[in-house]
Amino acid sequence: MNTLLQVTGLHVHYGAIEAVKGIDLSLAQGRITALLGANGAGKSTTLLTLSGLVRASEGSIDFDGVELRELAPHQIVSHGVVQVPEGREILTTLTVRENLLLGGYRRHDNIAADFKNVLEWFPRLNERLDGAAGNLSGGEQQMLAIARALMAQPRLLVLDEPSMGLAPLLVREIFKILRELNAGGLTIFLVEQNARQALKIAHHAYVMENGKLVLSAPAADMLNNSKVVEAYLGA
Amino acid sequence: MLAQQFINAISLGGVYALFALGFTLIFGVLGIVNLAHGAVFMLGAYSALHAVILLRLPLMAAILAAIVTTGAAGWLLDKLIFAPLRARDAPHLAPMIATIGLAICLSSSVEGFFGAQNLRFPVEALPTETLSLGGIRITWLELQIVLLAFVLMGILMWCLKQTRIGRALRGLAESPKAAALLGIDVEGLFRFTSVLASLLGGVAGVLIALYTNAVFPLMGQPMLHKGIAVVILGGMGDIRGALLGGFFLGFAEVFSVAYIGSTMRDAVAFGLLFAILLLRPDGLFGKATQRRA
Repeated sequence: MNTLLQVTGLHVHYGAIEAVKGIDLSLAQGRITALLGANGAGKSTTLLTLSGLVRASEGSIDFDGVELRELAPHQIVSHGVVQVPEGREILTTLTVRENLLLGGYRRHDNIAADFKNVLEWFPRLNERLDGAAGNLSGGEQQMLAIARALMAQPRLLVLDEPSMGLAPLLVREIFKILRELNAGGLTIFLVEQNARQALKIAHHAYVMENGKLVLSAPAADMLNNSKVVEAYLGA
Repeated sequence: MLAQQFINAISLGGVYALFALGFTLIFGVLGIVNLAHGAVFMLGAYSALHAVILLRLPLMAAILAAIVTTGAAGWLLDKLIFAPLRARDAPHLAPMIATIGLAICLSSSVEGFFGAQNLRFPVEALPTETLSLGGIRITWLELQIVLLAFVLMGILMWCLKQTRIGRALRGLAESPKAAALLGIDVEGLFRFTSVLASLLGGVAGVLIALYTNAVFPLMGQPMLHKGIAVVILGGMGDIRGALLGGFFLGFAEVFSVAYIGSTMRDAVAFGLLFAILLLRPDGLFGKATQRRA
């Protein structure tokens, strides 16, 4: 199994506070990897560091031979690491179409085919293309956020809590789409508090606690070992 | 008479709108109240004036010279002031104070170099022909001022709405974090915004200098006050608001001069602004708390 992304000895500080305390993790090409843990464990900080929005104080982030640690966020997107952030960060004053077009901002090839493709994945957006994105429901906004990220042609799709604030039915729909995207070959890195849902679609999972990785195991093993789930995930 | 005042109001309002656009762009995209915008406006007027006097350039080339100078000033403004403060996550007041300081530095340096006196464009440099249309007289100069202001505003509005970089700018205005994650070069676009906004201010400076034929170091001060008023009236950071606010002020000034008296001009114009803000504290468009371009 090829490793697409390798994080080694990553430390992240917010001022004097150490939010990530030296973690090693690797993402296998073509797989879904989940990062689980309670609120404040350092998961979102880890993801923001991957995208260059937060700077690591130590360690390396190797993405298919490219060191991402010192790169600016837009350069990281150019290399194919695209993130759907916590809270979705939809541009509410722009239309749905404009949000999607901005997803392909860094691409210089023709994006028309991908525009059509993502609308096939998310047909609901089709009806709202020229309406303000701020008028979409929470579930539609999450779909737009994922569709927008796909417009960048990611080699690695990173998602921070895609299930947050959504009704169970929508969560299932979103996870089904993620599984299908992965079946098409997309590598996915997923942060979730909804541990059971995430473990059901993931191949491998890490558990994070107080800035450290405390567990790394195949997702199926974690799901079957209810003690682990209870101890670390409280679910 | 009425039609004549209308023409005057449109040309003055167009220049105010141009100035306010630059001011509101920096607020909408960078989140900074740029109190040096008036000094950049003054710099534009001086550049064009000296391009005409010293380099003997024709008027349109002089305007181009002003665009280059103030665009460069905008680049430096971001490089030396906005970017370092951004990198340090400085609180809102820091860039305000920094730009007040810069404005004072610029106007005193200009005073040191060129003197405090009122400078004028040489008469032969300005077009003097007058067009007469059904009783309305408009000088060729006024016509050029109006056209230039409108063409620039039109191009800007179209670009913001229709182009890739315009979309990116509006996205950045709403959320720098989202913009960065979409692969937008946030730092580069901040700098671009500062350049664009400053050159709009610079062109407004040339146009006002031509309109009033007066260039002096502190000419940016009253303009800055008007610009702030216009932008607050329109709704901070809102492009349409800045345009509408600019024309509102132009009309209020011209019509109060025509029907009430020139000494009352500012009293009437700002009195009206004040009254509107009492009714709509967030300005004509949207919310004062919402940043948008």
